[in-house]
Amino acid sequence: MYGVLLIALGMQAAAQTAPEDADNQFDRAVALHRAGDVLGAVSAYQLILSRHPARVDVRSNLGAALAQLGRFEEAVGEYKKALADSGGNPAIRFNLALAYYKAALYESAADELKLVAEAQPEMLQPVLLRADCFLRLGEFKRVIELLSPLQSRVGEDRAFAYMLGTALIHDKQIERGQVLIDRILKDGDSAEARIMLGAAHLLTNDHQSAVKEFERALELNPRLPTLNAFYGKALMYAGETERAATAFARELEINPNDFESNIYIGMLRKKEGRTDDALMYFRRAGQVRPGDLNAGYQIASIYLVSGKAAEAQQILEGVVKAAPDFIDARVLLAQAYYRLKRKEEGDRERAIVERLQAAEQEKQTAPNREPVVKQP
Amino acid sequence: MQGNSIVKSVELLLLIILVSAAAAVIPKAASRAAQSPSGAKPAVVFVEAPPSESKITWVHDNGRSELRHLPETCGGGGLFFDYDNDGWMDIYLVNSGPSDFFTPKTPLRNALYRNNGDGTFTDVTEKAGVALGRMGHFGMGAAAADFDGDGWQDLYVTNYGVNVLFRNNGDGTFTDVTEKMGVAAPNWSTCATWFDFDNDGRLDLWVSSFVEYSASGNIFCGDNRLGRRYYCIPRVFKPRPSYLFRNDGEKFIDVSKSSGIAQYLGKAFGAVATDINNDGLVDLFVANDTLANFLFLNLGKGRFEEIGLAAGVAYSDSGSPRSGMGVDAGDYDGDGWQDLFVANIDQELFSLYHNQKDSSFIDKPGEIATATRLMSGWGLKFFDYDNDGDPDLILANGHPDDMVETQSSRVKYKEPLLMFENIDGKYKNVSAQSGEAFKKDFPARGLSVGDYDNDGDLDLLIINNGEAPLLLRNEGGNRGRWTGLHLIGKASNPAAVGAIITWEAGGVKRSRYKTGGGSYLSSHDPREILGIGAATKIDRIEIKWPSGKVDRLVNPPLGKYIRVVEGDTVTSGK
Repeated sequence: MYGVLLIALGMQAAAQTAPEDADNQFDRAVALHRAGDVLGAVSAYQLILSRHPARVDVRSNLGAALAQLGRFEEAVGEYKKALADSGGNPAIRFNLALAYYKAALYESAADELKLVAEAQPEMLQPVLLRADCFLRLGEFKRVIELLSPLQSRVGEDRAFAYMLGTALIHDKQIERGQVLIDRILKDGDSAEARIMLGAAHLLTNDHQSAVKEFERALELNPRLPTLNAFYGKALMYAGETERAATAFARELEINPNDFESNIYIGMLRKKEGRTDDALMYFRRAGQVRPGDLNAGYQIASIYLVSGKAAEAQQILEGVVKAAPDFIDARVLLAQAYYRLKRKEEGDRERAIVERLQAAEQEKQTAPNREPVVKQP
Repeated sequence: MQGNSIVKSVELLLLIILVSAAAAVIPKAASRAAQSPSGAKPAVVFVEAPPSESKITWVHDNGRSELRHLPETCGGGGLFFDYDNDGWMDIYLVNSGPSDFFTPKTPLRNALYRNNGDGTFTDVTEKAGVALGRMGHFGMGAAAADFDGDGWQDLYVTNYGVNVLFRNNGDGTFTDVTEKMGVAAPNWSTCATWFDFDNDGRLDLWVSSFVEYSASGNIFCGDNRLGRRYYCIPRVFKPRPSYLFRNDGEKFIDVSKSSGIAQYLGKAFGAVATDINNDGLVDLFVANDTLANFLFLNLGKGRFEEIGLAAGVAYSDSGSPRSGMGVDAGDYDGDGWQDLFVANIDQELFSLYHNQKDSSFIDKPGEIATATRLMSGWGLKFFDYDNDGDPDLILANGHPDDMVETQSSRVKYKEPLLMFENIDGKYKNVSAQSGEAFKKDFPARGLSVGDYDNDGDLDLLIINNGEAPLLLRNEGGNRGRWTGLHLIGKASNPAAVGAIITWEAGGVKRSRYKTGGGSYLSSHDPREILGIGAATKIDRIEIKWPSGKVDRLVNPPLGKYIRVVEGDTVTSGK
């Protein structure tokens, strides 16, 4: 979605005086880069920088080439240096944010994008990209908080409507989300609108309708990021686990850092007994959202079935500290203690589990409970 | 030890009663010899004995209503038992009945079918006096055992309402002794399990309690917008304590509280009595729906400790409670330790818990997980379907929600039976080779295993919710050689629950622990068939009774059932 936002090679970086031969070398390096010889371009940029380390434009392009090769850590390093040398050039900062984004370091990306947006308040792209970072972090309220004030100004923008609408639907503000779906549909049928409609169906547990909307969206734009993840989720809830796994895998081809696809495909692999595969996906999810409790809990569950009770216990202690009411995590923690023959601690966790479950049961059977809708 | 010698491990008398010298004459038209996938040996096939053949015309009525009262989808059960001691397994079937939410349009009743010994059955319900069908008898399941040690199988029937204990009068009739014996266990009971928890030689009784339920307490579960109403997932109903009754010889004493059982509120379905730590005390594994399963470790002196979580059998491997329904126990890998099985609802996976010999278990479902991912399991049983000496596994399935297909294109309301063959301690799905019935779908609930045609292999009785039961005759299981034992405890409980049978043939030694209960809403043929495959003789059989006594049989006859009375045995294949 944000490919168009990439800053062109040979961008206008901070003015530098450089010898004539360095400019020629730079032109050749850029030509290599544009021709698709990214490795050749990297070597050429590095050669120039070895002689002219202060060339911000060269370093910035080196960062872009490294990011293109998936070497995000190195790219970030180059961008950071270029940013410092340029005195905080917003274009370089935007590239740094993109590198963070591609490395699935969404919090860092969002921090940089905030600074870009402050420096260039007229630009919508940094705001939308920041909102997308929050979406990927599952921080729907932050998306709403960020985008709602802009609605009167840019509400007609399709990407804006999609982003805000998705967050509203996830936040169960269906009516407000529906307004944005209608706005997108005004421009004709689109994958974005269908994905939002499908997401709304998912929230009401109408999985079959959700599947239909996502299938229509796939006809319109099969490579729309997050679409296959939504489709996979709807299929999974509808009991179509093989097709769900295929959809999640497709999402990860397009969008390797999709958190939910990594979690769900990991869960499916776990059910199939493919614990090594499951662990790989859960770890990737953990990289996408560092410190995410669900990713940590899933990783710990794999450790536990693999006989690594001590490793599981360590993670789970962190999870329940951050989320004291996370019952399933507490169950696993109790199990880990019991496996480690730490009965006293196991019994303590079990007592907490029983207390939490009793409270949950009370809620479920309270006279004023909400009508029960079928849950997957 | 020589073939005809008499072994004196206790004071022994010769008392072998060969109860089935001749196998029944059963119509064979439907049988066929199928080949196993490898072609190495002919497959064992289960052949349907339809009502036209068996004369069993009873049909389960689930009483399904627009209001979708939960008990409607949970029944029914049934069992094989020999009520008239003629050596042939009779059949008892449990139906719904009048309750606070259901008034049948025509009277409903349970049914007792007497086995005629020729593949047909005769309805003797009325004469026997076990029809029930009165208010408060919305039937769930039943369990048979000789609770008073008089040599006649009695019958305990569980209901939504109040349960009923029938004492067998020994003359083809039964007497309702519920009130006198104190085992009504009102509200909603599901599975009952006979076992002797205090090793006093009398059969005690476990009764699983399901949720707190009443017609007025039913709630709306479904989707108003779509106009759909479903059976509620039980998590929206309150849990209840189950019952443990101690048989003191005169009556049953409710020891639910003093034993420690009652402090654990559950939503209990299947229960199996077994010894998970080989300490000689019978423990209990209980499946709960939407709550953690219970594993009650028998501490002796009438006390139990619930260790499900510590043992690793309470939750899924993600730490979630599942919808436990049917259970069983057996030593599937022959290591001398009882393993456990629990069936859950679709997507939750069924669990085969391997006993780690330290009161903990690890879930190793293998091929069963793949085969059951979309299934919801109820009746199930470890049993040796091909007489090769190891426990195979039958699973009877069906989704509890008749509306499930509006939610899912893959999960079905009616589901197929699944048969797994034990091959060197691993289960292989052989359903496709197990007969035409395995290609059909059923709303299965109860499942009972027994040899109703006395041909030395185990047949199946499946009770379908809202439909006719399914009687499946095992064809080919008896190609594996066998000896059958009917154990009668004396110092031990009459059902010999807790006995360990060890048999040796062709240099292979096998053992089996006699469990109590298991499956769902059902009990089973009390006899044990000891399979030896292609071996030509059984060298010896040893029975270690719960009392600690040991009886041995040397060179027992093959192809016969032997009645073995504790301490009065034994030997020889004369």
